[in-house]
Amino acid sequence: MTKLTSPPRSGDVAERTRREVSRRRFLQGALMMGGAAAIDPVFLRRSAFAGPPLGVRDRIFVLIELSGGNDGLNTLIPASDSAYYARRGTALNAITSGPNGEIGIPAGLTLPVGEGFGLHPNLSYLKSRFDIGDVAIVRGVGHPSKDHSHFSCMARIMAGNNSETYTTGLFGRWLDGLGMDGFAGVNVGDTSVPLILQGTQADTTGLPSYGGLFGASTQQYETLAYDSLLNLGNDDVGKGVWSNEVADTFQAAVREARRINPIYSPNVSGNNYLARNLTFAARLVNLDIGARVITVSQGGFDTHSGQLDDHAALMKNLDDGIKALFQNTSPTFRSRLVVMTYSEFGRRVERSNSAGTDHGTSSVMFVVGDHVRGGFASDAPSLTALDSRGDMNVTTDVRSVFATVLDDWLDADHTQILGATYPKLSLFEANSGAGNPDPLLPNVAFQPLQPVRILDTRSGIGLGRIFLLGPGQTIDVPVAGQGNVPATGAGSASMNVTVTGCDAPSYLTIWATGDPRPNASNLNMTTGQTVPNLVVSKLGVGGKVSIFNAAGNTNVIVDVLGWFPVDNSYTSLVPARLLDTRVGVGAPLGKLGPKGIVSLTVRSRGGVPDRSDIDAVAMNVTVTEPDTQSYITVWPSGEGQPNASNLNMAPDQTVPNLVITKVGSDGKVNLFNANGSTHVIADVLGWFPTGSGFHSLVPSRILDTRVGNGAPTAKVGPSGLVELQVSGRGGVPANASSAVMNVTATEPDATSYITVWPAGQGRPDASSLNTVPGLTVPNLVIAKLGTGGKVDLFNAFGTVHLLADVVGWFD
Amino acid sequence: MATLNSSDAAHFLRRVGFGATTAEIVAYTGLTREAAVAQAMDFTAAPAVVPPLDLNNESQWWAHSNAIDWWLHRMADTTHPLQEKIALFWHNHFCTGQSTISNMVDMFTQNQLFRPAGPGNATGLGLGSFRDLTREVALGGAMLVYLNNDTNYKGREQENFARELMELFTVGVGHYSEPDVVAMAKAWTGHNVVGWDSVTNKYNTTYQFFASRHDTANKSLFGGGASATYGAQPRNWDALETIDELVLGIKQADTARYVARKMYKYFVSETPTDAAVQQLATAWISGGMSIASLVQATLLHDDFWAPANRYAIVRSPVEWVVASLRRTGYRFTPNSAEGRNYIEGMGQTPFDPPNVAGWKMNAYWLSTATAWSRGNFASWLRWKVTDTGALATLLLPLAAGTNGRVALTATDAITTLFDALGVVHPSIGVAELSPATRARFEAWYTAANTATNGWSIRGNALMLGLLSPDFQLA
Repeated sequence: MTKLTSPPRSGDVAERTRREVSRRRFLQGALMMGGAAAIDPVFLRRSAFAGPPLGVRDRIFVLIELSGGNDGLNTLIPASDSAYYARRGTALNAITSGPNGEIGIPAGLTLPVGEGFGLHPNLSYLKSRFDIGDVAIVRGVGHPSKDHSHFSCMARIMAGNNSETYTTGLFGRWLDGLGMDGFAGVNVGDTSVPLILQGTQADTTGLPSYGGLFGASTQQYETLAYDSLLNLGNDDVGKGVWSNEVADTFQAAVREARRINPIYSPNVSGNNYLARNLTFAARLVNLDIGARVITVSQGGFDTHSGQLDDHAALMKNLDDGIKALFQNTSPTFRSRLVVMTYSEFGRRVERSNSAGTDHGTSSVMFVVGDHVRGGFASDAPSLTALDSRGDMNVTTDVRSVFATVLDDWLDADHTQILGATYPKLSLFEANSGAGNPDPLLPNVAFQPLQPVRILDTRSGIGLGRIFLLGPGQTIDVPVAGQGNVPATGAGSASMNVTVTGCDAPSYLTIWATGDPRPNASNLNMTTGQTVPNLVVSKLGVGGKVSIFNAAGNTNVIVDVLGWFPVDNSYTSLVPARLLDTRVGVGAPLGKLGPKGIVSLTVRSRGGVPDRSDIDAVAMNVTVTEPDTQSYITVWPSGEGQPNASNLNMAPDQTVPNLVITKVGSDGKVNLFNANGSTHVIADVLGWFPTGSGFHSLVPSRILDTRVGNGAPTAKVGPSGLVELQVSGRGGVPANASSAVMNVTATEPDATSYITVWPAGQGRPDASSLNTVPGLTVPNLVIAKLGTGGKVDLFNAFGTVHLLADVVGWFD
Repeated sequence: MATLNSSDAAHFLRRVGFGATTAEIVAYTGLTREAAVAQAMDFTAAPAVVPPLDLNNESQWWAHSNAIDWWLHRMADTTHPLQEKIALFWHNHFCTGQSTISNMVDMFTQNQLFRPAGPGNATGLGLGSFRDLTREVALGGAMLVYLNNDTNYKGREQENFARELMELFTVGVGHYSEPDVVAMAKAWTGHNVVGWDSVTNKYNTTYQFFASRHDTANKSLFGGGASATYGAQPRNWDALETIDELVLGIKQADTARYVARKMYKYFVSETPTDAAVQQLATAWISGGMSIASLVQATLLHDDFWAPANRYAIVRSPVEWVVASLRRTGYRFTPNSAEGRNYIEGMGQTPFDPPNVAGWKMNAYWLSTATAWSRGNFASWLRWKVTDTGALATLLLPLAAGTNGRVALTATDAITTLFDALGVVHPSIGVAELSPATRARFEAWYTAANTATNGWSIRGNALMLGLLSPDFQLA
């Protein structure tokens, strides 16, 4: 279609634009490689929206373009091959060529990686990752066309489909196929979105090397103006369809600028633009807004003359850049990220007569990540059996490398995307790519999930049959591999368990399948009641939990909310009763009276070890036989009593609720009863040590619609929504992934339910709390924090006041 | 005959230009449509074309950057904007790009072909014969290199130009066959350029015919029927003859419809009916394929004046930037690449469309990243015109007083702003500002007009005004 010519001299345009104007170039489109390409930009109408957060089965791919043709032979040095030194001579060191322009890097300076090869001395981080098996090295890689033009060779690789028209790129087509919008494909840096990211449907976004996205300034005089554009997007502008499209686009631009701009802070100093852009890329990943393929570019590899010092600096940039990427990526995503380098071609074996190298054929690629299969992924080309131009033969088709990434890391079909089938390499550990739960899940305490229903006996979800759980019956419910819980690696799960339609007073016990049924209860119900409760249970044989119903017949519903990795700091216990005032366990026999407080020892009881670093315990607390309307507050010993509640009761009700509470330094917790007298029971389920990813807090009320705390002073109406700011309040920091809150519904006037889920995502088919008119009901919720550290609360029917007490958070 | 009221005149001047002042609208009000169109198409008094100085700059990147500023400034300065809008139309139709050919001299030579004839551009063909324009473009260095006909040799045909000549420049997809591409490529063999000059060490892109490279074998085009002009097929088709056949011969109706459809979209709306396209094509054929007759038919078509088609076009980056420059009087700093760097981010680099298919419209310009670029331009421009003092003149009543506040009511403030931007013209009763825009901006004004923020009113009013849907639509 279009004429292909060589780009301007490498670095020429890039340097000029960077120096003079690039702050304001937020390109999405027409140019690449400093202006040589002719590629249709992806100016589609769709505005960028934050995508769904990364699931445990999703993967991220970061691609570093080494523009200009990286000298593979001086990147991975064949230090034991005399032909290398015969053709290039031996330099004085890695940055100074010999007296006659020799540029072979002395063998002793290289960082050995086996088979006689050594990495460039500036690739020390890469070497350290190689040594622990995290780096695959692809040798002799190139495009079989042996095209020596910067532009057309790179365009061939980026297009990847043997087309000579270069209108879409291989990752662009992948994104198209997935229907992913917004920030799924992102280029970071002052180069435009490269062809490789461009499709025909998916919106891809170019983010600059500097902040200052339009709409992101927080100066008041600016935000007032931006707000008018933001608000106008909600209106009917009234001048035809395009007036609304323009308004919507600018609304999205302001909204997304506010979301994205924080990745530029704090500033990254220094002249290493690659490290700078990769740091921003890492922060973009940490934002968890659906970034899946991120591209960055480093120019300057067209080293025709005097190459050693230039190339050494580029190697240092590359090494520091890859290090910055991993170091700045949150542990939550780090093992689900792989970075790869590529270049349009390598360079000639023979040095040029000016201490450099001319355009060549094959080069070397690095693939780095926790799940990469380390080592050499392909054979090295011969340095003596050269083609007629003096170039090495290509042992490995670059399309095979991309095919492997597409199939084995991104779970795509490379034949469809590349339009042909290529033999694949072995670049990744078995079953480590997308579609698999991450076996190396980071050492975080808790993986919060968008709630997913994994059991509903009314519809057959989970066990595949519709039934009522009968008296004395036990069912085993698969949890691992369900919802977004991984098939392996999850030690325990948090679930909201609800009973409905029971025909007799009863209780449920939930425990790890294969363990003996404990003397404990998780859920109590009377005839006809709909009752939920949060349950944290160890997963037993087959990744299942067992559910036992004491009496009558009932429907059971389970929504999974998150999971704790095996060997994690959270230790699930066989539930054990620490307190029962009916029999005098843990406290004197007899009901707890008005304003009564029980000081309950939890350390070294019920399986909780005798350690001073017990930070928090999870307990199921139940009240029974209360004689008046009241509530229970649980808090750590030694702290002031908070304005919060864990459990609410009406006369003669039996009400349980899960409580996760910080433990006082004396190993105790306090339980307070507000009014009347009631029996109190507590079953311990597990514990967290200090220094785990869980951070307990003294309970703090962050939502109370009765008094305008966290939301307007008004009941939440039918289909009503409250968007609750959680991070930054009640001791929850900005980087919390999820929060543990006791959510209470009070003064409901209808039979309804409350759903709590991360802001910015679709409302799940799940419930956190069920209400009946006039009754106050609480439930503990472990909520993943969504956009801006917020959660959404939805009330289905009638009106209700909502309260939330935050009791802890997870990294 | 229908005459233009002030609202019609404002619409007309948004489409044939880049918006208008109240005085310009008044000058067109009361004219018949025919008179208005004739006046807009008369370039005898247009400012003379003075070519950019550094087309030969050793850095073709800078030659390009300065040519971009040159064209944007000409569009902003001209009293005859339709001349430039037609040049822009043909630039996007006969697409070539500087980043591919790296030859700003050829790009500019071609640009002059696209510009309708006027002072300093006597041979411009933008309103001339479509056949002549197509021929001249085809033989220009820019096109010969861009679509590889410079290397189209007998026995080693390069089909790029042959295909695009039919697919994109004349008849459109579906109106030619693959055998036509093969035959067409052969017809264009040997029509190359002078080539490498070892003395100057440059590639000389001047057109040259090499008989030895030309395929003289007989070939058939378009189904092989006899040509009214050239007689029975197969025959030894030569390059320019094929253009005659496409524009005036067997394929005339297809070509007329294909180009008329694009012209309609450019001036009227993105959604022409087949009937309207046929009407324009018929008028064009009647006019002997003179481009002036097509432009005239388009601007006089009832669809052009229909209320539903007003504000139906999203201003392209070029149109929006030029409108901004016209309203504010700002001109880019010489040799700064200011214009280039903003407009590239918005997705439209003059002299460098992304590929041979050119830029598209409306939705094509709207994305988050391009909105950031437009936003940053508007944000930057408010400070530049603050520095030049132009803003103080433009929005004089919006100056904050000694108490830090602007004295105007919110209604008057927003009216003042959009009057200055040519969206409303209160003195002649043109009040087509969206009520939603007005309400949101008045709310902003009221909130921002405080002792601490009043100083920012004037600059932010400009920024918001430029970014309003009202100013971004034509």
